[in-house]
Amino acid sequence: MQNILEIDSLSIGYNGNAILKPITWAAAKGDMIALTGSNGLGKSTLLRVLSGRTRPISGTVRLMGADIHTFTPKQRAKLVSIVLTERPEDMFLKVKDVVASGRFPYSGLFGKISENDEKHIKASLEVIGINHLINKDFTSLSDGERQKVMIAKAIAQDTPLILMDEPMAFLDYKSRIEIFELMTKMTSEEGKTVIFSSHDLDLVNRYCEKQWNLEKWAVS
Amino acid sequence: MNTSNKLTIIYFITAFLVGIALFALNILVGSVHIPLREALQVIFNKDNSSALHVIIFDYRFPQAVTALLSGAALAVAGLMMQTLFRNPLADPSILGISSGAGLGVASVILVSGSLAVIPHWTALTITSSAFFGAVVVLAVITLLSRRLNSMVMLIIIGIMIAYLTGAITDILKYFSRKEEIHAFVIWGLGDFSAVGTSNLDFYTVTIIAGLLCGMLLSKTLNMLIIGESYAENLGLNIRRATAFTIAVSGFLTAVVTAFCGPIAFLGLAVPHLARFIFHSSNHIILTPASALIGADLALACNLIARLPGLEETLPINAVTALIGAPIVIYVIFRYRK
Amino acid sequence: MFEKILHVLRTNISLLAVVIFAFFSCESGNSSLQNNDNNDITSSNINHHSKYLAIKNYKSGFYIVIKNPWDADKTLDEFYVFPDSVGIPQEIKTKRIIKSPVKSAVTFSSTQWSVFLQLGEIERVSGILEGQSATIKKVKALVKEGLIADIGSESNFDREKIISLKPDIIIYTPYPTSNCSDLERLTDALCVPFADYLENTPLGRAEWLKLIGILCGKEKEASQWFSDIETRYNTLKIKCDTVSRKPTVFSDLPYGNQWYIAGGSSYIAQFFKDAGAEYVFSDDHSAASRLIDPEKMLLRAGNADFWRVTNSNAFPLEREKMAAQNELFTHFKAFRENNIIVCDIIKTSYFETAQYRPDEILADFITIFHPEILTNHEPSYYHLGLK
Repeated sequence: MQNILEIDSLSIGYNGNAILKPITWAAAKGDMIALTGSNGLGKSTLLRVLSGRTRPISGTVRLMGADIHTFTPKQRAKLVSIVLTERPEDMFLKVKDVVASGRFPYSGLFGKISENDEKHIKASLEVIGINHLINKDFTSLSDGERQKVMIAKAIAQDTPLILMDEPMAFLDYKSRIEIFELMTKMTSEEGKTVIFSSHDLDLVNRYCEKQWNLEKWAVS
Repeated sequence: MNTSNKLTIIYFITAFLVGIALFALNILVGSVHIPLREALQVIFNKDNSSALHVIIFDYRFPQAVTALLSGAALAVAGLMMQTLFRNPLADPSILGISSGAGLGVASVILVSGSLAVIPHWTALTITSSAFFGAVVVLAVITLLSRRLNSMVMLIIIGIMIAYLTGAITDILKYFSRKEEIHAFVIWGLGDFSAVGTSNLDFYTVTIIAGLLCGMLLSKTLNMLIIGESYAENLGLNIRRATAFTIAVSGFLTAVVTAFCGPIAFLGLAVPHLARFIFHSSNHIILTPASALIGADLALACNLIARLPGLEETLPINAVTALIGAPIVIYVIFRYRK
Repeated sequence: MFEKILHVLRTNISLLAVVIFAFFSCESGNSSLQNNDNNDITSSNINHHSKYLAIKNYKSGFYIVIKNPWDADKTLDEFYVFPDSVGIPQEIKTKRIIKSPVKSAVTFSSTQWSVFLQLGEIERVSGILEGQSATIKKVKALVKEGLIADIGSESNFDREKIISLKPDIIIYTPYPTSNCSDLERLTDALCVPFADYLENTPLGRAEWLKLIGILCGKEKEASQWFSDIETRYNTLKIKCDTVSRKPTVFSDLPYGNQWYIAGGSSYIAQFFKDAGAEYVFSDDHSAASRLIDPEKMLLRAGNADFWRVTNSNAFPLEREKMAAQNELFTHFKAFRENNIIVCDIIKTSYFETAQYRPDEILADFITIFHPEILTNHEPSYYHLGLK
């Protein structure tokens, strides 16, 4: 089976100074991988490199077999989606607007929502189980609900790889369980590859077979 | 079609009709009282020698068109700034573009001294120097925006540029004569009649071109409003998008400011009003909505500034602020609920 | 109503007005500057046209009151002038005394130093405002040589330089919000307010030259000079009293959209009236300028025969350029027919000289409004028609 993501002797850092030893990993379709390690180690930086937003110091990230930087931003937008800790803040944004933004890589000049897009949006809300929220103002939702909407956006973006930075941050225990259940569903049923960073070792151990621990590569 | 779409269309039609009504009032009402029947006779008769004909066609008409276009332009420019910087206080003046225009005008009126004691002879010079000043600041900001990642830094740099240009303007003022300072103060009060019939075609084409560019950036703005990182992940080139947005909104501001002076508050207030009325964050709706509401509000302000019974025209800049500030306060209170 | 009556009195029966006026000013003049010998002050002024200036003889000197233009009940300043040779009478307790002729005067306005110049006393002037922009060659040269110091601009004058000049008087232009008290503290000079610009009549403004004359010790020359102006002015004015047709006229250019019009009782309106023309805003009895909406301007002045403008630029006004800047101009009859009366401020040294040549200005206007009355007058300030 082809690997969705291949990381080859990747060295990341700032201003040319590596913060981690070179890493070589691979993720296959349907993998749910937890990125663990203590704070400030570079989990967020690694996720940014994996999403193609930041360039590595050396080494390559291959997406569907090709170097991630050989894709145009628009092509990349159809291969990898992200869920970050930052949230949209505009008070007139509807849940539907946020989820629909996942369809921008597929829409035309004015971003008009096609019937096909409409189907994708409905389906993603369905998967996450938040159809009832569709016409709510995004800023009126609870933290857990917002996180689910952002995940629905990532699903609507229809990419084989989804990267999540601290998806459990700020959530209560019940919501965290829900998110883990969702990620399991997305990987096993929808065939997505999910890589997420987390501190929640108990739940990670319970839900994830694969873990990438950054600590081992810390520079001494 | 669902109810929210229907409402949107109703709001658009209402704003449009209000605009037409205000435009008609701008033509029919002014400090010179012209009875309706007489006005209609003047409008539909070919006789173009009477003073009333001159007042209606050569004074009121170009002024109303200018107000309409300027209101639309400033509102759209403000909307773009507020979305780009995700800052509800952003308006076209925040990047120092208006102060750049002010410095341009100041250097012409104040530095050239005797060249411009009667500024009217140099109205064209004033327009071009305002435009030049605005475009220089705009170019600096656009270039910086391509090198800076942070919107906050960009805002700070914009405010600093506004301070710098403002300070230089103040120094120029300090060393100038009364007449020159007076001329500069008057430019600062704003004036929708400055375009006149001879420049009206140019003004109309330029502003409409700018507004269309603004419309073309709607999707970009819809992506930016989700958040910069998300927008980038969705395939948006952030630096290019920032530069385009600043360029278009700055261009609209520069053109309006060059001709009409720094018109306050419309750019800040109207986008809030548009979001509030249309209850939307979608720029496909918000951009035309802001343009319409901006045009309506500018026409209303122009009408108030020239209310019959007043011998003199009130400075338009004071009227826009008097109307704009309560709107912002009202909307903020309603936001909280 | 009272004002209106006073207005009529002043303009038509000027002598009576002067008496009433002198009566009022005499009363207010002595109220605060107390001295025991009121009898020594002549009861009437030796000036007759200036509203804010009252000059009276006092023994061998003068007692001068500058009235407050913004508050009729108050005086702006009052002081004595005595010739240096005679000494100061013992009963005078106040310190507000000027010894004439003054040795070092700092002036704030060209209407002040130009009187010194014309009286041949310019060497008494030690500093002037905006010396760089003086248009009279002699003064320009003196500034260049450093014999007259340039003390900066009105909004930003150089106090240290003024102190270093050790003036005995500083003649300043008063505003409602400004006075000269800080300069009096910093120097030994007496500050004299020169409220000429607030006078509404041409002769009233010109008469301020008498004050400078007294300060230079040339009061007789100044008096003669003014009386020549007055005689010629009144002779010309009388010629226009009987004109059968009065052309209509309006004045000034707008600043952008801001059209300021001079009031019906203003300085310029008085010229129009005396030159036998009808000012389109003569129904407005104020002396101050005020803003008017451009469309009202079109309605009121659109058909006026003449349009008086001043040009402060170094280059001449051109009709084509004017029309390109504001196409509303083309809808004024006076503009279309090129009946534009223009004064080139710089070329004519208007600010420095015109105030003391109201007779000449009146002659210019009469030549334009009624060429049949004045046939061989060569205009000095105002010319008809633009390129």
